[in-house]
Formats: sequence, structure tokens, C-alpha cells
Amino acid sequence: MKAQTLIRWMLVPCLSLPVFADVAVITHPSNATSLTADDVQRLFLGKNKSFPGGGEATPVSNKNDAVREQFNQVLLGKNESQIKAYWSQLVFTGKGTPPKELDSDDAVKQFVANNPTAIGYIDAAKVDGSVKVVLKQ
Amino acid sequence: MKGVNWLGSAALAALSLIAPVSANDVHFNGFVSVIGGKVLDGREQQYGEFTCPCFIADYPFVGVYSEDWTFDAETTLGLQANMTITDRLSATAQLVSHGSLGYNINIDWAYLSYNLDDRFTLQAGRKRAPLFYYSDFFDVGYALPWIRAPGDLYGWQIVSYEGANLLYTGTWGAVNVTANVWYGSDEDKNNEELSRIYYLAQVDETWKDQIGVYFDFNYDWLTLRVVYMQNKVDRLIYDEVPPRQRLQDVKQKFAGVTLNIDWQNLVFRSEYNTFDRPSEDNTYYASLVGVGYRLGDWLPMISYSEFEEEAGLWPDEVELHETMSFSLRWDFTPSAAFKLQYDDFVDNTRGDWFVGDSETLSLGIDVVF
Repeated sequence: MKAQTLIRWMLVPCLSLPVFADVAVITHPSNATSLTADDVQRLFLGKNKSFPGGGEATPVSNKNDAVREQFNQVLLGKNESQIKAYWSQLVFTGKGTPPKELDSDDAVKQFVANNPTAIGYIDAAKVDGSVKVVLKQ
Repeated sequence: MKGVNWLGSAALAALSLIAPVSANDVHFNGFVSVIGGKVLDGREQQYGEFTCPCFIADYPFVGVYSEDWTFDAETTLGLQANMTITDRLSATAQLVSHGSLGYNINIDWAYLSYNLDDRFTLQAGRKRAPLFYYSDFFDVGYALPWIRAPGDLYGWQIVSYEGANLLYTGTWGAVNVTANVWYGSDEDKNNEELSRIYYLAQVDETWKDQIGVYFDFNYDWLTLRVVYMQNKVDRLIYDEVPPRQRLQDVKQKFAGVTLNIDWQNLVFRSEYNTFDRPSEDNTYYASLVGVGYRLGDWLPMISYSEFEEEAGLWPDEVELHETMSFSLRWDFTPSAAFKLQYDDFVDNTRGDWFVGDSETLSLGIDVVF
């Protein structure tokens, strides 16, 4: 086997890894709050139910796997199983309910654009003027 | 454990009355743990109804393994219905079926929840008492790193109450805080654990005026929980005619502390609890230390737990035991985990009246939906 071929084979596993999109955390354009990564984490893990400046928050999750995995790992610091285990602790003891899950980037964007209390996350490439980006990872 | 009093009934009634009206606001969640196991080795004896070598995996629901494979000792199914009545008020009921109790369906939770604001929630009805760290989600195997919360600690006969609680969730600077104050009582006729494991005769157990508080502090990778509870115990034992009142209004005080660490891939779990009945000169100590390391979707752990009784009136019969556990959790897909566990239980009880040593293998799958 030529060295070049060998290198190509060794690279295959790396190339087949999912390519992560940039994730944008978005709110309604009328929402004046600025958020840190910690604030976002607290809202999505149910540790805070309102924005730091006051006002009810309605977090929504995204079923787009690539975006969701990126958001979970980078902003929540947990993988999908750890997040499921975390929420099952709260759901079955009356301490909280996980964010509602919406089907796609577009569904999340539409929900956030129409709800002044909403906060969501989508593929950064899908952002347009209907929502405000509060954080980009 | 079995009965549901007026508060629970009220919550259930509210649930069933409103359910047909706004069925689209009802959410169902559930959990299933299918767990099998067998004792590999241990002390041979007949202990009550159990043919030993045997291992008590679940004390409150009397899940016991022997040398014959069984999937009934710890298999558990739960279904929860949560109904939003208004944006502040909701009703929740949870039905749980334990293989160890012949798969009978029990209403372990039935309560109303009212959000006072974004920090405080008032709840009333029937709930599991949040005594130890894993007490209130004891049945939800998926939320645990092991197959079960260790029996050396989680061996208490009363696990529920009917009453009310005030729950707080908020942040103090960089620290996330959950706090809860609860008050309630539970009367359990023919208590499964006391009747079948300890007295081998019917026991009616009542824990009155449970008043408790816990604080759970979470800072990034560190979690600290402190808890205190006190109540009065009544115990009626049917091993004589007429039955004898073994305990009447006996005050007991419970205190516990938990320290958990999730630092990068390191997992550390610990717990220390005491129950004290001063008028009986009787104290119980239980502790747990577990260390694990996450390797992708795998979590191997080594854990040690211990139970120790001190009794001024029966020093030669105190209950003492410890368990060394090796466990493996594999999250093979989100929402489902495979687990494998080996437990080495050592019974040091004075007077040799208890179940005896055992080595047990158990495995199974936990699911949430």
C-alpha cells in the first residue's frame, strides 16, 4: 500500500465525522436582554425561568440533530443521554418540564419570531431579520 | 404506599374531571426498567419467605434476588399524566407497577401544582418524600448511574407522604439553588418492607407530621445537597393477639448531606445520612461513595455503601451491612441505557439474624419516554 493511500484511509474516519454548523441562539427582535452562555444554559436546563433582566422566558429546542448536538455539547456541556437523564429526574418528581421541541430550524425561527418571550437556537446560516441573535457558537 | 388519601384523591378527581375537556393539554411521560438478576454465591438459609443465599435489592418494594434468575425483583413500569389546567395550575398523576409486588399498579404520585411566580411553586397531594438524594426518583432507573440506588441507604419503609410542599428554583450569583419545604403524613397498613423483611408478621406503620426541608446547590461541576426532616412514628405489630403497639409518637430526626461531582469525565457520588430516635436510644447511619469515569457512552463505576445501627437497648442485635458494587452503564441510544452490575453484600449484623452475605449479578435496560 502506498503511503498516500494509507494516509487517505486514515483520514476517512475524520472526514466522516459530522460537520458542525455554527449555532445561533435567537430571541424575538423586541427582546432587549443580552445573554451570556451561562444565562442560556440556565434557561435551557430550567434553572432560571425568566430572562436576567426580568420577564418570562419560553425556551424551545430544535430537533435538527446536527444543530442540537452542537448546542448540547457547547452550551449545555452534556450529551443527549445526559440531558435526558437530567430531565427525567425533574419530570417525574414535579420539579420541571423540558423545553418544547420543534421540528426544524424554520419551525424554531418562526416560533421565536412570533413569541416575545421565546428563546431558541438554529443553524446560524438560517438567521434572518425576523429574529435577533443573542449568542453565536 | 398503597392507599391514596383525600388530598391525592382530590388531585386525581381534578385530573379525571378536567381530562375530557382539554385532552390536548395532557402530556404523558413514562419510564420502564426491565432488570434481571441472580445471586451467584452467599450464605444459605431460609430467611422468612426468602430462600437464601439472597440479596435485597429494593427494600421498600421488597425486590429480592435468589439463586434462580428472575426479572420480577426490580422490573418497574411508570406512566405519568400531567395536565395543564391554567398557565399556572397543573395536575399530575403517576402510576407505578413493580414486578416485586406482582405488577400491581400503585398511585405513587397524585398532586396539584401551582406556580406562584417564576421561582416558587406550591404543590399539594401525594408525593414521594425527597429524603435522600435519589429518594424521589428512586423508581426512575434511567436517571441513575447504577441499576439501583444502594439498598444500604435506600432501605426506608415509608417513601411517600400526603401533604403540601413549597418548591423554590433560582440562582444566587453563580450558584443554582433548588429548595423545598414539605409537610405531610403517611399511614401504611401492612407495610411491605417491615412485614416481610423485618417482623415476618403484619406491621402497620405511620409517619405523622413529617416536616422537612432541603437545599440543593449546584455550581457548574459541583452539587451539594443538605436535608433535614423530623416526624413521629407509630408502629403496630400483629405478632401477638391483640397486636402490640411497638412505637407510639416516637420522634425521629433525619439529616443528610450529598456531594456530587461531574468534572469533565469524572463522576463522583457521595451521600451521608442519619436517622435518630432519641427516646429509643437508637441511631442509624448510612453512607455512599462512588467513583466513575465517562468513556463516551460508557460509564463504569465502583461504589461502596454502608449501613450501621447503634442501639442502647439491643446492642447485640444491631443491623450492620455494606456493599461493594461494580457497575457499567451504556447509553446505546438516547432515552435507553443498558446496565450491568455486580454487588458484593457483606452482612455484619450482630447475632446473625439478618439475610447474610451474597454476591449478585444483575443486568437490564432502562428507558424513558
